[in-house]
Amino acid sequence: MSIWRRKTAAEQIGDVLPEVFPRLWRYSLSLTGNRDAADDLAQAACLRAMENATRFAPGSGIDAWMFRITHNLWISTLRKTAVRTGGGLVAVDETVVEDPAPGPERQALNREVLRTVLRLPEAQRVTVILVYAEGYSYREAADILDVPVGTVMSRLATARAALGQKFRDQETQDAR
Amino acid sequence: MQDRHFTDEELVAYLDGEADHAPVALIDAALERDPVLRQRVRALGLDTLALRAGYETLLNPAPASIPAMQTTGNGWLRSTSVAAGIALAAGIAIGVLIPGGKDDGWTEYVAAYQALYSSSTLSHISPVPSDQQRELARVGAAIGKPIDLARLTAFPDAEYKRAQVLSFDGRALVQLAFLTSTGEPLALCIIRSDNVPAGQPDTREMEGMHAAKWSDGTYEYLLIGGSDDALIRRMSSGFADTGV
Repeated sequence: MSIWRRKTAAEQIGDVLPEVFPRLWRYSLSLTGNRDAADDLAQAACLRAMENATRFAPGSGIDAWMFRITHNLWISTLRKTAVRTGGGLVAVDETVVEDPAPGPERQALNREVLRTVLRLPEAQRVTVILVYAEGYSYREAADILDVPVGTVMSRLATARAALGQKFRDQETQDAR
Repeated sequence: MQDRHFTDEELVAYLDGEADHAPVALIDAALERDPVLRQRVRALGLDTLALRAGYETLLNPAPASIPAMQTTGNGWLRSTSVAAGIALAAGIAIGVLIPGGKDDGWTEYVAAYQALYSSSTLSHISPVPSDQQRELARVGAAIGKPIDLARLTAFPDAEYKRAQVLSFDGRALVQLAFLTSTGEPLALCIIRSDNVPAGQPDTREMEGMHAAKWSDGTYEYLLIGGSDDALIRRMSSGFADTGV
């Protein structure tokens, strides 16, 4: 028998916080569309994770669990406030994607792809970000978003068709 | 042989390497001989590398709330160790909280939470009094207590920044954030607690920060943050004497 006691869930959260917090914040930014609201959401999610630490089942991914908390918090409370105060659906703030000093073409492309993704409807946007930017599997993304895998697949297919269309239109325009 | 029709979902799962969700071998074979299918797959292409790289830039500038990564300015190693220290401090505080369930567990909580704050969490906020009034009305309603902006702006050494509602154990908790003239974040936290006797500010150290706790019989207050003990004493007795 090991003399070391197992780490508590709360200690595990403490361990991963420096790595996970920036990712939760960035995900929050893609949900809320502005930095202040992202601060609030990511912090509230960390607080909620600490409060519910005992409910975390060790063995499963603690980061995915925290993403799930962030998403639930957004759906259950903060989105309602944002929609009320914003008078409609939350649109991602254009200023979120900073225009850095003129750089290589590649950076411009990266920004353009991100901008286009951030303009997708929320359900598609979060699914694309979890799978392609955060690297979660379909199964993990479905768990985080609390939807069936089939829903993840159809959101990704719709998003990719729309994004492909957009970039094709742009190429045609640029070629003129 | 006529290939069966593949849905966009299947083709995307194929592109994403999700073999459980795509008939990979069938699509591979069909792609060999079907130019229309190749066209469809191309149309579903997404530059995920560009997306990932663009997404990285969202952290630049870094979120205000990762204290260790922004404020030390002393290189990565130091930043990482400070970040680990903060997480450890938070972890210890939480560890104490969970099994104990002490009456004043909320203050430990606030302390762990406050440890995540840095000057840059608040420095970008330029307060507009009319907005602050509205915000205070909103958060005050959450705990059933009017909060007077004039009381919060009465201290020359600490600028009142913003208010938010947090929750502890299902109870609403108002956090009023200040930034001191030396750039340290402070928070005045208020929670409704009917069964705690009124008492004057009692100073203490929590998570390496100075703090003061008091109660007016209906609400409990915790002022916490920074290293200036005298400022915490001055502000807490000011708030306790005249109300918030």
